[in-house]
Amino acid sequence: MSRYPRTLRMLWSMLVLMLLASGRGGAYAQNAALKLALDWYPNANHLGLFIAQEKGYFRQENLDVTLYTPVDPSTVLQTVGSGTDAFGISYQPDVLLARGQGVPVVSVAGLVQHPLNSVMALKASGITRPRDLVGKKVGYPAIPTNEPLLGTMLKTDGARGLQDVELVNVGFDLVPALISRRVDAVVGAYWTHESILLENQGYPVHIMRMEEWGVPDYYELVLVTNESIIKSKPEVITRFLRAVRRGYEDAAQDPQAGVDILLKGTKAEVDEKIERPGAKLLAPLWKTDKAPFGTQDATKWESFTQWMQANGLLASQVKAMDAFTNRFSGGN
Amino acid sequence: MSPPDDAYATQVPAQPGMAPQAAQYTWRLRRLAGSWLPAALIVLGLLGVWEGYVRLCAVPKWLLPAPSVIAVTLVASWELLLGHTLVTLLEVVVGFGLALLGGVLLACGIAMSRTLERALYPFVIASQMVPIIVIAPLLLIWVGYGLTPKVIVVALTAFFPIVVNMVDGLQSVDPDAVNLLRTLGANRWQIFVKVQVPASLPFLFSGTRVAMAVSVIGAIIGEWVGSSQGLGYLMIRSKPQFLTERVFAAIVVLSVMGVALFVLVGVVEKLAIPWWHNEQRQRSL
Repeated sequence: MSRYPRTLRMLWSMLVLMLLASGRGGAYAQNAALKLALDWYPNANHLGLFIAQEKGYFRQENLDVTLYTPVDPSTVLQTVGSGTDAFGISYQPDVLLARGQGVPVVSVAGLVQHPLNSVMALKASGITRPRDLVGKKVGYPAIPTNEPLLGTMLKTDGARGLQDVELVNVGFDLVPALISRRVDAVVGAYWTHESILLENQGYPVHIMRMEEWGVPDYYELVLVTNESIIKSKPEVITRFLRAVRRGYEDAAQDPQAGVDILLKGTKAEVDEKIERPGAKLLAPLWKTDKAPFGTQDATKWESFTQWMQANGLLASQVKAMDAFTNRFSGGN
Repeated sequence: MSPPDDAYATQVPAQPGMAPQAAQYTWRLRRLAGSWLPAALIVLGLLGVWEGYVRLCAVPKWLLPAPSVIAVTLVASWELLLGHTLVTLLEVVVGFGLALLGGVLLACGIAMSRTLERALYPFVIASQMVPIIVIAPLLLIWVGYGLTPKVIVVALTAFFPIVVNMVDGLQSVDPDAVNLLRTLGANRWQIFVKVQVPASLPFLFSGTRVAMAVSVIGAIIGEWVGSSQGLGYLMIRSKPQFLTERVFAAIVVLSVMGVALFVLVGVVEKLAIPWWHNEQRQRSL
């Protein structure tokens, strides 16, 4: 899913930021309302959360949780960092970028075990591997991380790198850009969402997954909170994660029942024809190999941090081990 | 009509021990200070409160950077900002130019022909009812991702105030003047050029100033939905990197650019229709 916000909300978010600045340091009482900011409109990625809400798992932990989509989802790490939202769904690369700028956010659970971000080309274009993109136009949302991701894929497949393609910022409309053939491929689209949308429209695509073309494996979606909550209310996080874990265990077991709940919870705002196959693709990604749900693998954090630093995205003083914790995920 | 300088000179209060010239100079200086000082004080005051708040409450810079931090960013990354500013400026200037040309032609057509007015005016108004933010991404798909879609967005937002104001101006002529010319045997075209057009110019410039202000917003909207250069692009890129101070620096540059363009239109207006300003001044005295 092109995770990038709907549109001209910049000035609004500036205003919001200013308001936020005045509301920092809210209290987190035992039964106080907790807000969880979603990374995007509700979709199959959030099944576990909606299940936990619907089946009362949060309530059983004495938590009053509100799930909401921010006006501008790219501000999740800022609202969580400032304490306005207790929890948020974000991305491993963004958590590292945020920490590089001093935003005190910490990942407490890995939700999706692998990158969902991928490179996509229409099947009709005959592009099947990164090398085929040489000399072509690749559309992307103007998110800096996408550039070295594509660069690494190109280099891994024997091309020189980013200089071999023409990158076009197509904003948030990756799918129309691809269908209208304004670009030959896109990067920044999820292989559990945009690809399904494209197929449904009659445009089958070829998907090139990041981790299959030299990019270190990372967590697409992580659950984040901020450092001060970890210090002041660790038991709230433990309870919250217990409920989330139960939700995702249910979702992994019966994804389609989860979609039913999602449809009900969002009053059918979501597209069933995308979410049903999406949930099917996502279900295996919610499960970790041996450890309990959400447990994060230190090597994934380390190797991706090093990759970001090697590609100039991240200052060298950012420590991967500070960016996440397994304290609350039921492991050690 | 007496030259404005004389008009001022008569107002200078008598200052003992001062040559009239010097007195006039001081008075002008004071007048200048009087017109700029309140705004400057408000800006300085607000910046002071902002800076003080950020420092006292230790607001982190990714949340709300202090004015001093923004200033440092402005200086440190001037080269980056300049490059993107020139791109946005080009979009604004080209788009605005097209809007001006198209707007004036359209207004003349509407004012000269009842049929054209009935045929076109509804569409001119309807064009503003369609949210530009919805059109902008479609434009990208229709015409590509270069300069063109931004110029179109700018022109679409800017032409409306120009047309509406100019039409009002063209239709606002003194009927006595028209009748006089008619009795003297002037034809339709002569009346249009000699009476209607001059009468419409002050209106046109009012519209132009509004158009200039919205042009800058149009350019940012155009860049927001898909671009590879420009201040809007710099902002959307800086945001996911949590470089809030750079976003603010871009906003500062954008505001300065907008104000400068606005002032420029004012200067052109003074040069183009001096009679109007003299008249206004006389009226206010």
